[in-house]
Formats: sequence, structure tokens, C-alpha cells
Amino acid sequence: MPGNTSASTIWVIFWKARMLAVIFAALVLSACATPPSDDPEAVAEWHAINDPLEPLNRGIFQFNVGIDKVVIRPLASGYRWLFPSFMRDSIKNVLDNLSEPLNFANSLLQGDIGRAGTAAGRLLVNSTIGLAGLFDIAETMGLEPVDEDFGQTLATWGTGEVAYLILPVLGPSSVRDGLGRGIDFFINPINYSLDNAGLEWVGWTMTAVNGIDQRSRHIETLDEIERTSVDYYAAIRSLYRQRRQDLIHNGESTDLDPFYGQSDEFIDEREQSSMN
Amino acid sequence: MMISRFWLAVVTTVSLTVSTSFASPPTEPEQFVAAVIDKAVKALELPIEARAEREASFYALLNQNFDMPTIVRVVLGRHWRTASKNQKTKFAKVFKTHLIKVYTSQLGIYDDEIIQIEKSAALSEKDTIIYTLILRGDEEPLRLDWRVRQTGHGLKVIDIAAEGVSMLTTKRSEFTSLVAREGVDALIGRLELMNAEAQHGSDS
Repeated sequence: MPGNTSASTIWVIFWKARMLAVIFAALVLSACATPPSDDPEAVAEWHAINDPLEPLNRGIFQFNVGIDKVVIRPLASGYRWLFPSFMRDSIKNVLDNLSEPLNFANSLLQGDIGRAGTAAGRLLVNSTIGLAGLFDIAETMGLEPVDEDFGQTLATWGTGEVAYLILPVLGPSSVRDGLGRGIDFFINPINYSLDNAGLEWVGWTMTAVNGIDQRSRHIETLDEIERTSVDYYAAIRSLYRQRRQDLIHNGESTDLDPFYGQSDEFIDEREQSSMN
Repeated sequence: MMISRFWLAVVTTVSLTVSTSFASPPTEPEQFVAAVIDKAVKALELPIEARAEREASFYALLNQNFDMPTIVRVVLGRHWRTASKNQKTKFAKVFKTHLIKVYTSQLGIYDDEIIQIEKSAALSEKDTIIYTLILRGDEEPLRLDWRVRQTGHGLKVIDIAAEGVSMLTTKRSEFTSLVAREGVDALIGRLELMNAEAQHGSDS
């Protein structure tokens, strides 16, 4: 019975997730950084950076960079070389279209009816006139893409990111956003239909292609960030966090402050002479 | 990940032919930003081969229109206070060179783009954010926000953010992380090395 298949699949996934969580918790406990205790400025910085797992994260980051150099970047280059850009755009459009149900559900959960309507409209238009998502007709009609996920929903509900987290292979995330990814997997109806049809591999392939496509769109950018940064790990951490904040606030100004609240007192006039 | 737009912006900000347009009568900070954009464009209209001249133009632009004393302090964060006078002077110097050599070396891509000043919002008594949009043909418009401060020496830019990603926040995060682990001298050394490589790269 399809119902049973789906239930047992969920059970297996759940069980695997639990096992991973246990292994992960053990790793985390052994790799925590020590928070500063005395200097109030150091404490403020510690909270702003919010990366208590830094030693572990740096390890996974190094691993990811290694995998990227050997496997992912070459695949992404090959993908870009092999397919002309209109084909890559169509592939991306199809994958994006399949994530509209998530944009819709998360917009609703965030109480944003307008965006939910946009996502539903995009799904409707692009799945039909847009030939199963191959063409983003909706955008030309003024339905601009929305990008909502459960991590953002949790943020809207007031959940902080808990801690910065690098996921193996998947890259920068946070405890909140990592959890959000899991929830998104469960609430996406496409995953159920694929599981019921015994086509889990299609789901994995989609995820992989999406990853390669994303990577292929950032080859020069990431090279550039690596080239221009003195600490690649910290640069990515900051960029990821700022982009997430921007997505959560849908492009409205965020509460991230480069001054950590010291805006006006930051400059000591007496010291200006040493800088010019 | 959509961070690429940030770097694209850093590159494009200054690499456009601009017809700056205003949605409503421009305020003083808006006019200031429009003027800064104009100057950046002038610098970019210099041929790539005239490297020294281009660099000098950007150097002047940075010194005259950006609040460098504040920027230099902010990116060092709490370590500014504990750095020696010598370290501060040295850091200020290599950081400016870093901005010129490492970032402007990427500039020169030339495209007919339009910067549109959208709106501005007061952040505090001294600070205003000016929201601009870069229209790039078929591509999605790029959001570029300028944080401008009223200083003792007039209006100055203190930060540029592309698609919500602030240059100041990013550099601060990166620099303080390195200094916390290896110290100010290590940061200065790293920047000097990168500056030398950029110089070498553009020589060859």
C-alpha cells in the first residue's frame, strides 16, 4: 500500500536523522570553543560571531574545500562547459518550479499572504504555460521569484540561529537553518510522490543537479572571495549570515550593525592623526 | 548561495557609465552619493593601461569621500584599542593599499549601466542610508546601499552594502577573526603579501 511505503520511508529517514544527530552531538561536545569571560568587548564579539563550534566548523570547512577542489568545482565547470546557458537556465527553472510549494507553504507560515499568492501564481503559470517549469513566464508577467524556506520561517517566528554550523558537503548553515532544511524536506509534497513511486533516486539527482548548478553560477565569485580574503572561513561565515538576514527580512534593512552598537563613540578624535 | 552579487557589485559599482536618476527631489546625502558615483565612473573611464593613473584616482576618491579613519578602526574592532601606535599607522596604510590594489585590479569591465537613487533613510543623527539600484540590461537589478555619515569634514561614505551584504561587516568579521588567532602583525603581513601579489599580477 502506498500509504505504508511512505510511512516506513519517513520512519527510516527519521531513524537515520536521529543516528546522525547522536554522532554529531558527540563531536560537538568534544569540539567546543571556550567563551571569553572577562573583557566585555570580547564577550560582545563572541555573541556577534556566534560560532561556539568554530574548531569543528573549521575542520568541516577544510574538508568541504577539499571536496570542492577535487570533485564539485570540476563538475560545476564541466556542467557549465557542456551545456549552453539557455539549457542551464531551463534546468534551473524546472528545479526552482518544483520548490514553489515550499515557497508557498513557508510564506503562509510566515503570515505573508502576498508572497504565498505570488508563489502559487508562479507555480500555476510556470507549470502550464511555462511548460512544466522550463520557462519562467511568470516573471515576465510581474510575478518576481520569492525565496522562502523553513529556516526563514523559524526566524520570523523569533528563533535565533542558535549557532553557526558548517554542514558536510552542503556548506554554511546554522543550527536553525539546518533544521529548517530537514523540515522543508518533510513538508515538500514532491518528496512524498517520489517516495511513493519508488523514485527516491530522482529526488537525490535533483538535489545533486541543483547543487552543481548553484556551484557553476559562483565559480569566479568564490575564487575571488578566496583570493581577496585574509581568512576565507570567516569571510564566508560573515557573507552567509548577511545573506540569510537579508532573505529573512526580504531585502528590507536588517538589524545587523557593523558597529555592534558602538556607532557614534567608535572614533576617538585624538587618534585620527595616526591614520592620515 | 547568492553572495556572488556582492562581489559583482563591488566590481560594477565603480565600473559603470552612469546616468544617475532621482525618484524625487534629491536630499543632500543623495546628491553626495550621486557625486561619488560620478567620480568613480570618471576614474573608470581611464584606460586599463594607465594603471598608475587609475590607482591614483581611486586613492583620491577613497581619501576624499570615504571616512577612512572610522573605517580603519571599525574593521579592526576591539583590537584597535590594544594595537600599538605603530601598528595602527601601518595597518591604516596597508589596508588602503589593499582596497586599491586588490579590488580595483578587478575593475575595468565596462557596461552601460544605470544607477538609480531609490530612497534614503536616516539611521541616526549622523548616519543616512541611501538605497540605489543598478539596472543592468536583462539581468536582475542589483541593490546597492550606501551608508553616509555627517562628519567634522562634511559627508563621507562609511559603508557600501550589495544585496544586504556590507563590506564593513565582512571585512571586520574577517580581520578580527584573524587577529584574535594570530595577532595584528600577522594581519598586516597577510595584507602586505596580498598587495604584493596583486601588484605582481597586474605587472605581468
